[in-house]
This record gives sequence, structure tokens and C-alpha cells, in this order.
Amino acid sequence: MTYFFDTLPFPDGSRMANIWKESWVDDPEDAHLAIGHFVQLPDGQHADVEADFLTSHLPLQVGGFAGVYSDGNPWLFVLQIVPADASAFLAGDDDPLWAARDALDRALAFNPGAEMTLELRWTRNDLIRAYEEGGVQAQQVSDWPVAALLSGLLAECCYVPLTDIVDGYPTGCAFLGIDHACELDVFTDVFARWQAQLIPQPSEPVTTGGEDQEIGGSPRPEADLLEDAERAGRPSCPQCGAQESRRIALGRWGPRTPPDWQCSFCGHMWDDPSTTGERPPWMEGATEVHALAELIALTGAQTQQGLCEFLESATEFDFDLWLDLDGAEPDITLIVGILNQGLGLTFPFSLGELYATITGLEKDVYAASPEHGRDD
Amino acid sequence: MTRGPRQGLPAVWDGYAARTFRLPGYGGAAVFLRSQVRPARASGANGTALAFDVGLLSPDRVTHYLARSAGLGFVERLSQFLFRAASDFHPEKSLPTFIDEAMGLTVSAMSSTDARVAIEVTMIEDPGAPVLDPDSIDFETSRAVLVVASHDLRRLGRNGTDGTLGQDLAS
Repeated sequence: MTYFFDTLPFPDGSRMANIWKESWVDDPEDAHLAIGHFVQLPDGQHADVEADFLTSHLPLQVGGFAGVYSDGNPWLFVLQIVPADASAFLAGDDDPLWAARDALDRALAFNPGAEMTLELRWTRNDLIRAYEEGGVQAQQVSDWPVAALLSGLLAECCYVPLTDIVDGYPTGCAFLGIDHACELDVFTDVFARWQAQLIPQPSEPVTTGGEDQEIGGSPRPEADLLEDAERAGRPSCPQCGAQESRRIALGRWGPRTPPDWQCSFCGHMWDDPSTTGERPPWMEGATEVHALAELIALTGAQTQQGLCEFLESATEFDFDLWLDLDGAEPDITLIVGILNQGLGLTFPFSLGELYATITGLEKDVYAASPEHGRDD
Repeated sequence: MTRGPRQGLPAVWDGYAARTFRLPGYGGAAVFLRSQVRPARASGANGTALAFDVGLLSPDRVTHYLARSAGLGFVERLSQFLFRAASDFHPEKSLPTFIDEAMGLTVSAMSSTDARVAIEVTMIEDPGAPVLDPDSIDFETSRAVLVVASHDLRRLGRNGTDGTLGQDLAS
């Protein structure tokens, strides 16, 4: 799939949520070694915040990525490079990677629950071999700094082939021939497009012109993707690429524009400015829908699943949200389970009540009304 | 055959975990709290009470204030403040500054977006001094982190009534 994803032992369902790189200029006089550490974060920690927190205390880091397992537990992978003689010269340590290991150890002291579980090491030649495995000829990257070699392998994690990255390196543009706001740095260009959710992932093939094209090949213009979607009647999810979207209309989306579409596969919601249509009649005054939209906006979540994760992070309970907006009447049910306390109970919540509870701040968010309780 | 202490059953203290609280932010900043029980002779209170070590961390410094006494209901009040900071649309406008005069701690929401809140944490270096010398850090964190922090904070202990053993720690 990609070098890092193949090398690291990710279980099924793991998801990358953030990727970054630092500006770094190798001193050409030094031989640099690269080292990567996989860090398991404690349950409930926020991968994005913790990645930024940790790397702020790592002066040798050049980049990394963070995400969550299928059960929501967070992890991060951070890359550092160190001049081969720095540890011996500055600290008198024979281990040339001591400086990077010590830096991580020092940073992890500020997050006592985090644990480094895997270390990977590379010389410059190791990294060039990784490019060769990705279809790149060694002489194409033989003069790249070590930091650039690592950045390219990171960019590959955004499902842009190494060959495209290498081809774009001289011009600083990863998407030649595609109309986009170029970052003028091939790696940053890839990261920016990935964060804008404009790079499809390889799990779902995209149909173009009657031929199947595996995603992970050259990215296609947004205009083409939209055209395909119009043809199919349903747009592809910009997050996961699945064509399982359905039209929704939430009454209010806090201060934001209501989203038009929701992916049935991953739950992502998005607004498609090219689509128009009448809102369903139940939208006006639909208290539950208002409550759901307000709750999602209020908590900073992006999806129904995000809302459930938010609520779970605030409580010790499991939340499930059932949303069916296809029918004539909206059907929304939030179920809270306290199975982890061995009680085996679930409570269907009124979202309007939950909204009032959170905004009123008079009760805990998980304080279900007794009249809603039932034995499961 | 005898076993060394690390080869046999775990020692009783192996299961011990300090009660600590950590509020991390973007940019390497964090606030730490650690609770401890202090006797009356040390705390100056009417009885045994909870005190707190407070740590302020940024990438270029870390400062610890040790064994600070806390005002009534400190844990609950700060927990509620953090939850409101996470859930209010504009906490910088709607949320009053959290102040614990006994500890010399002030926390306020400075700005916010849909996903993030910027907070400022200030400690008075010596609350008893005639001229107060504030030490503060400010940083952004996510609303989700604030909710988790609000929940985690309650593990530090309770000092909900008058902070003394008979009415709080044993309740």
C-alpha cells in the first residue's frame, strides 16, 4: 500500500487523522540517520493535540502522522533525524541514535501515559531502497537530503504514488496538470490536498469514462470527480471515496451552512454547492433535527459518529446514534448504553432534551430521565 | 526457593498510581495538577485537607508550585469551568474567569473556534505577598480535550465542603 503503512503493524480499521512535516535543511557535510517511533497514547487522548504537544518538545523531529485504531484509541508515529556523529561528539555516547531516543524519552515524560512501542531506524541507503521498492530509480533521489526522503515517504501515506512525488520534486508541485492552489513544495502540496480531503483513498475504485481506475494512481481534477458523481446521481464521499452518499438536510447547522450530503459508509457530512433542491417539509420546526445539528456544531464534532465519540469521551458510557432522514418523518434516536458497568441497560434519549441539558449545564450529559429507561 | 521482589507477585505499590491531572494544548503547552493530603499543621486549615501541586509547561520552561491550598469546591468548580469552556459557543464571552484565590490560580477563555478554545492560566507566585506577581501561560486546545479534562479532574479528589477530612475525604 505505502511504505510506512506496510512497515508498521496497524490492525484493520486503523485510520490516519493527521499528517505533518517540519521545515528542515540537512547540513550536506553531515551524514544523517533517521529514526521513527510509534507511540501508543492513553485511551481518550486527542491524537491531534497530543501529536502537536509531543512534537513541540522534539527538536530533531521532521514529521509524522497520527490517528486512531478502530476502537478509537489514539496513536502517533514520529520521525526524527540526527547527524551521525552528534551523540558521540556532544554527549559522549557511542550510540549514534542516542540523541533522538533521549529527546523522545524527555518529551514522553510530559505525557506519562504514552508509551513508545516500536522503533524503526534507517540509513540514507535504506531510505533510497524504499523508494526503489516504490518504483523510483535510485539515481532520481540519490541527491535528496534525508529529511526530503522521509517527507516523500510521509507524503506517500496520503495515497500519492512515490513516482508522482519524485516527478514533482523539481517543480515543487505534486499535481501537475490539475488546477489547484499549489504550495510550491511537493510534500506540502500533497499534505494540503489530503487535508482538504481531495485525494481519494484506495479502498474504493473510481469509475471514469467507462474504465475502472484504482485510486492511488494520478489524482484527477475535482471537476472530473463531480462529473462522475452527477452521472451516478450521488457524489462520492470526499473523505472515504465511497459512493454511498444520500441527500440530507439538517434544519440548522449552528452558524454554518447546512450540509447537503452524508456518506452512509463513514458518516461524513458535506455541503455540495452544485446541488440544489427543496428542503423536506418536516425541516421547519423539527426540534430533534435542530438539536442534532446544534449538538454536532456545539461539540466541534463533524459527524454523528464524532458526536458519539465526544459524548463517550465525556462519560464512561457507550453512545450510538441512529439517524434516518430518508423517510417522510425524521427518525433520530440516541442510545446510551452502560454495558461497561455490567448493568445491561440502554436509554433512548431525546436529543432536544440532551441539547437543553448540555446548553443548560444543569445536569451531566449522560443523566437520562428515568422515564426513558428500559431494561435491555 | 525464594524469589526476588521483582520475580514474584507484584509488590503492593506496583498497583499504586498517583492522582494527577493533565490538560495538554497545541504547541507543547500543558497544565498539570497533582493532589496530596496535607495535615492541619502543614495546611493551616482546620483539619487534614487536600492541597495541589500545580505545573505550567511550555516548550521553553516548566514551573511547579508545590502544595498549594485550594478554596472550597476547587475540583468541582474547575471541572465545571472546563466543561463550559468546551461546550459554550463563545466561552470567551459567556464564561466568567475561574478564580481560586487560596491557590492563586486564575483560568480564563481568551478566544474560541468551533473546534478549539484558547485559555490563559495564571498562577500567583506568592498569594500571601503584598504585591502579587503573576506567572501565566496561554495556549490553544481542542474542545474535546477540555471535556476529557473536565471528567479527569474529578479523580483528583473532593474538597467540596470545607476541604477537611471529616466532611470531604471520608464522604
